[in-house]
Amino acid sequence: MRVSSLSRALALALVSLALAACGAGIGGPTPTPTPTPAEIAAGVGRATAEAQSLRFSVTLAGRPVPIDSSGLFTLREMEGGLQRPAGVLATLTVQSAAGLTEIRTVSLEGRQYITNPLTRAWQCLAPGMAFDPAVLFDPERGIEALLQRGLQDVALIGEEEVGGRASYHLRGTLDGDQLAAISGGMIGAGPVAAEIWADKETLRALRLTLVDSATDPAEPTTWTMSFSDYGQPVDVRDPVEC
Amino acid sequence: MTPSREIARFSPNTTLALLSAAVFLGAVDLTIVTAVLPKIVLDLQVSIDTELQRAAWVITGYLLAYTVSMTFAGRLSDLYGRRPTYLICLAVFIAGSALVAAAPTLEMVVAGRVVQALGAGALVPVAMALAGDLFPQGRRAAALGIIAAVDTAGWMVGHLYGGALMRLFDDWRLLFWINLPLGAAALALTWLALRHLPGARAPGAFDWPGALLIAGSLTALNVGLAAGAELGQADFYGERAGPPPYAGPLVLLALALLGAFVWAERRARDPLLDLRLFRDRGAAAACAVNALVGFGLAMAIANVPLFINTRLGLQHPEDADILRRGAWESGLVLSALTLTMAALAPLGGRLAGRYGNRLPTLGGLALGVAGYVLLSGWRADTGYGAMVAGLVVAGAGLGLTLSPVAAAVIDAGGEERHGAAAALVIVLRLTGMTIGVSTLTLWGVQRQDALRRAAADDPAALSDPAGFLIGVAAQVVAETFLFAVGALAVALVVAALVGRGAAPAVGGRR
Repeated sequence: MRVSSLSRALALALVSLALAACGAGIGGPTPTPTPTPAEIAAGVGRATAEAQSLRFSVTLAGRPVPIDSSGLFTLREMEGGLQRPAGVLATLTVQSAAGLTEIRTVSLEGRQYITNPLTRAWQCLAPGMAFDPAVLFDPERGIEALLQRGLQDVALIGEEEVGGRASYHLRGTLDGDQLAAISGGMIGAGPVAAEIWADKETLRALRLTLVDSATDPAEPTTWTMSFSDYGQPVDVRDPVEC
Repeated sequence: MTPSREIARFSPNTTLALLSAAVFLGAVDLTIVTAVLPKIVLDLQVSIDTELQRAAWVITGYLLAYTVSMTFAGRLSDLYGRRPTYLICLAVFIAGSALVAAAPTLEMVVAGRVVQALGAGALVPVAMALAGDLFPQGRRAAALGIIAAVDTAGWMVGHLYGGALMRLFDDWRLLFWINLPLGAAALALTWLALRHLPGARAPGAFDWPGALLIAGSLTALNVGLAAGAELGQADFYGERAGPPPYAGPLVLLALALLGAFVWAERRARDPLLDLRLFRDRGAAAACAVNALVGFGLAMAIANVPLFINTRLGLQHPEDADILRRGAWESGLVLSALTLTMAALAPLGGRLAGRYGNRLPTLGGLALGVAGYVLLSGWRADTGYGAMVAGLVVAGAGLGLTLSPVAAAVIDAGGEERHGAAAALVIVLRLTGMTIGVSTLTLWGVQRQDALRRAAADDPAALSDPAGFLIGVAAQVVAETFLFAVGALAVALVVAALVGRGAAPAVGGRR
């Protein structure tokens, strides 16, 4: 797998982190008794963005998502953590003809690292050589911003229990171009249907599903992201010196 | 129990054939999985980086449960009746097969394999005990020999059978679903064949302490060795976490439990294993040789499919059908070992009859060492011809030892303990195989991890990643074949030293 290919996978990992970063954070005031769906969505973006740390997991179903130009490697799942202000780590599980393999990545204050899938050794990514994951947390372009300002046709489906917590269930559409721009094109060939479950009390995101049907309407790729362990520290550090 | 004319409504030979068919089915499943494990790993989303040691339990779990159930099922059938014990064990095997076939996760596959093996392993001693009931003394040894040979033949062809089915149907679950109709037919026919069997039950009690101690010892040993394979695992940043703290103590616990088992058996009124057999130095040496041969066998049975599938997968990543091809080619190449073993085993028996057990044992082991030395020379580009050559030499050597080693143990058992001694031969070989697979996993997982990490600055690794990974696989496989060289060399020394001066057994037939 080439480094440029891996960077796309890294980008994808960080999409989910950014998604997690958008929302919650209303630590103090309780939402208004009857907020509009758009207000809830914006609140989810803010509350999640204000969380100092969280863990996330992403699973994919439907059409496989290639992470390299040849299409030999596809993303199966991802797990990781976010530590503010600018630390992210993630383990990507990738499938090839030979089986599943893992790629790990760290992004810390503008520096990027990735494990070589062959040697499992950490290596540095030179600036500009690959996608910069910081863009995912960009207040103007990141998913955080998308959730706060870019969720279109948002509707409140109802209130449901998620992991024992009362939560809002929202549905809307995210702009494909903006998602594609921050994910290296792995998601967002067209408008992406989004469903969000957020803790009713804290407004922090609990679960997010993205259905990318533009690539293959018959078998759309569904990304299911779960967020947990808010406020639990995540050990993000430089794996090697560059 | 005494032979009964009533049993003859199905002739003893027909009944023996039916019993052997079920034993064969269970033994086939010992090695069938080596042909399909790569496909299982892929289908069930097992990480080839960090979870291979879990996948190894698909093989180890079966070997372990098969071995454990063999140790006590014969005695259970003494106490509770042959027919119900046999039929229940067959039903357990069928149920386990269904569990594996329908398993949604690797853990369920392993659980199903253990259930399968608890039934399949028990079939062997119970079938042997039934043979003892069915045949008069003069024909009993031959009947026991047939069951032992069928059991050995089963695991010898299991990989080829698996490879052939995979080539035809490309569905690993089918390999286990197919056991349901075959097992049900065997169940119905043996139910009929054994329906007139006298229901006599032996007096005495079941040796629960012995059964629990030996099962605990074998389990602790294999879990401990497998845990050591986690040496290669690391935390997120790649720092070595070391083996889990329970790995070493588990191995020590296994040894302590084995000691307690020996102590308990020597004092038991109705022991599970009659340890008096080991007072015969020749028989004790043959037991050790047998276990070491099993260790060597496991290395080849596991390494051949592992290397061939890895190489094919890396050379043809675009070919979605490659694992199907790998299963078939692995089965064919491995046949060079197993079919040669099967072909040479009778010659070993004839040589033992003429020259005594010691000479063919020593010759076979020396040939086996030579064969494994050849196998340890595998490189990334070693062709099938060279692989087959080494496997034929190793198979010829191991094949020559099978009969004399078994004869040494069975002869020492005496006429009245033929069945128990024959079962012990299989148990010891399987124990050696189980430890072999665990050792291979232990070494292989951490070694390939170390080799890959060591190549971090190797430009050749980055320029030809597939070639690099094939080279790593070849090196690890070659190294583990050296373990087999060592095991067979030790066996050679044991056979040479013990046989020279003392008692028959390895040194000569009684």
